[in-house]
Amino acid sequence: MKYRYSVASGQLNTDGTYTKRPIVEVEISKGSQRRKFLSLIDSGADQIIMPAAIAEVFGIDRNSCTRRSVMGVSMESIAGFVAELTFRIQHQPEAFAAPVVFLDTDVPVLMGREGFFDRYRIKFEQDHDTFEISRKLT
Amino acid sequence: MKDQLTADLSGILDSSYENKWVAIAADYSRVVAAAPTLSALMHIASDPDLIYHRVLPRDVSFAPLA
Repeated sequence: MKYRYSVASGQLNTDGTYTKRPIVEVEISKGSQRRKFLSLIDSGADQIIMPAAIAEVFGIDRNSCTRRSVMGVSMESIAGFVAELTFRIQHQPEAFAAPVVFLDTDVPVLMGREGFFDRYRIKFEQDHDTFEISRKLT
Repeated sequence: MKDQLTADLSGILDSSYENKWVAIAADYSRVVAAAPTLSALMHIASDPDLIYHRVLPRDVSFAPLA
């Protein structure tokens, strides 16, 4: 399935063209609880990353979770914790479970590699504003 | 390619939502609620059919986890 890059409202690249990002609607769930997020597909992130507020909505007790720190381009370590959630990508038929690193920041939901890129073949085709997510061939 | 409503959100996300979390209607027609943090937003807009989105600032380049 091919998806269009999303125009980031009002933001321009250094050359004056509109900034576009590979964003997709993702339903995230745990048990009977579910929420939908526009999520950035981030091949540079080792894991799926999201704000700890989402863990609270799903009733995840951070004190029972494995600790894991995350380092970004500032090269400063941010403390987080890990729990598993279930994901369904828009226009994809199946749901899948994957580990998530939760951080006490308002970071957007980042669909990183572990558990996501492992399961899908993802092709970025920014030269014509599309990206493709397809089930990985076994 | 299926129609993708997320392709251009500029019609509903004006500058007043910059650097906020927003809850968007399921048909992407409007912003239902906005708040500075996701935690605050989820307290005022908790319908599971809403779509949550972090509107990034316009005057910066985004490199995740900076």
